[in-house]
Amino acid sequence: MPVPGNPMRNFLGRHHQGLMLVALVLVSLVIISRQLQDSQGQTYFAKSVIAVMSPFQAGVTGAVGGVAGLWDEYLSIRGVKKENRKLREEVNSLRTEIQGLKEDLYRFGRLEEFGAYVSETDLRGIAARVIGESPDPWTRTIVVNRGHKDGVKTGSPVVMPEGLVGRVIEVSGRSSVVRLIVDRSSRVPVLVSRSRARAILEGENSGNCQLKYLQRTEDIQEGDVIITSGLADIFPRGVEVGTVAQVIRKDYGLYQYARIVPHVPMSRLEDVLILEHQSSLKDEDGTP
Amino acid sequence: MRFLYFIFLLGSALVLQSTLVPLIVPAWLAGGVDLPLIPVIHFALTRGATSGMLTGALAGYLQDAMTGGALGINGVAKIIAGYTGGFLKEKLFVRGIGHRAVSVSGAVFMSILSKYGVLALFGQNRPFIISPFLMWAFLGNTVLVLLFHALLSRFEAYSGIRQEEELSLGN
Repeated sequence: MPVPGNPMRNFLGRHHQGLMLVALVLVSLVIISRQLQDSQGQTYFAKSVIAVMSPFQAGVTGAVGGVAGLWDEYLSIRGVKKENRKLREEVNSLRTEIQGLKEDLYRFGRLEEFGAYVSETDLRGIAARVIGESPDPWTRTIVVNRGHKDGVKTGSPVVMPEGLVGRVIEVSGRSSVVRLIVDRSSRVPVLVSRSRARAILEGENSGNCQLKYLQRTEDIQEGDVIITSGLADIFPRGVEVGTVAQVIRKDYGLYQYARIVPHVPMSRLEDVLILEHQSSLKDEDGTP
Repeated sequence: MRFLYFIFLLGSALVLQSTLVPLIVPAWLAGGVDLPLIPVIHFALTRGATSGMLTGALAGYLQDAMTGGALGINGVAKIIAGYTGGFLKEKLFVRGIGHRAVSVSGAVFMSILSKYGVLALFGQNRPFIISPFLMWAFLGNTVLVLLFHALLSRFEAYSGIRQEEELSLGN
């Protein structure tokens, strides 16, 4: 009988037979499926339960997995960040160390070259490191980390295995100032290696030098190597200075000129060799 | 009395199904005879779909239990048969033989359809197809149920069981 105001009871009352049929059939199907097995030996009940539940399981597993994954990712990101920071520090430290080692290796190589040079030329000298450069654009000087406490004297020639660098003009306790051959006030007595023509090398303040006071009749060509002449007792004889890049012979005058490119790259000096002063050498050798 | 009658009818159908039918019906046709359908459809037609379904459930499950098959196959078939019988009885308002024949054949048909449908659903049989065996099962059971329904109805009327039920229901 329909009950006024209670739609659920009315519905159940009207359809109780149909609902009972559905319930009985469903229960029966569940019972059947629990007993019957498919070809894989799995019961249909288990299969049906799995089929019904698996989307929910997949959803829950996916959600849990997603959250767990996010959490793991978060943790791993945190860990990775920390590790990354640590590794960066380590990399920086190793880079610095490698750089230092490279530097040491380079210096060691330079020193070896210096040693070989010294033994080849019978010159005695002190290896020094360039610690400063002239801030004044009109002068080309460098500061090295050796001074009179190391035996450096004013006027000592400064060389590199590639060639002449300059001359010590000031000496303090642990450092010295070296005037480079490219300085405008630098004067070096030189020879043209091939023709033995004498001349004076002057700096141009740029990276090059100029050959002056070379007799007009002297033989000089582009590509000739210029070496020190050993005159004036400042520079040892036979040290390479540079190469002739251009010969300038005017239609008049007594001399000809040449532009010389020094063998030593003056803008990239790092280590140099300060030789004993020529007069000291002479004193020790007993020769004038 | 009604309860004993119910138990007797159901028990007889189940026992005869497993004892007499294999003896008197050829083996290839025996499977099509379904005696428990008689009380199920009879109760559905005389007492309604609910009684039909409950009788069907009991008869079907007992039949399955006795035959050793999967429990519920005959259960489903007879629940649906009981419901169909009761449903058709209510809709057609059973009066004559024609209406009874429609109700019974409908219930038997639904019983066969649901039984083989469930078997097919669970991969235990080939999908339901019209075959001579199923036709025999349908026709044979329909005739059997119609016959016994008529006999039982007369018996109930004669014995006063129906009147007793109607009185107890307040009709």
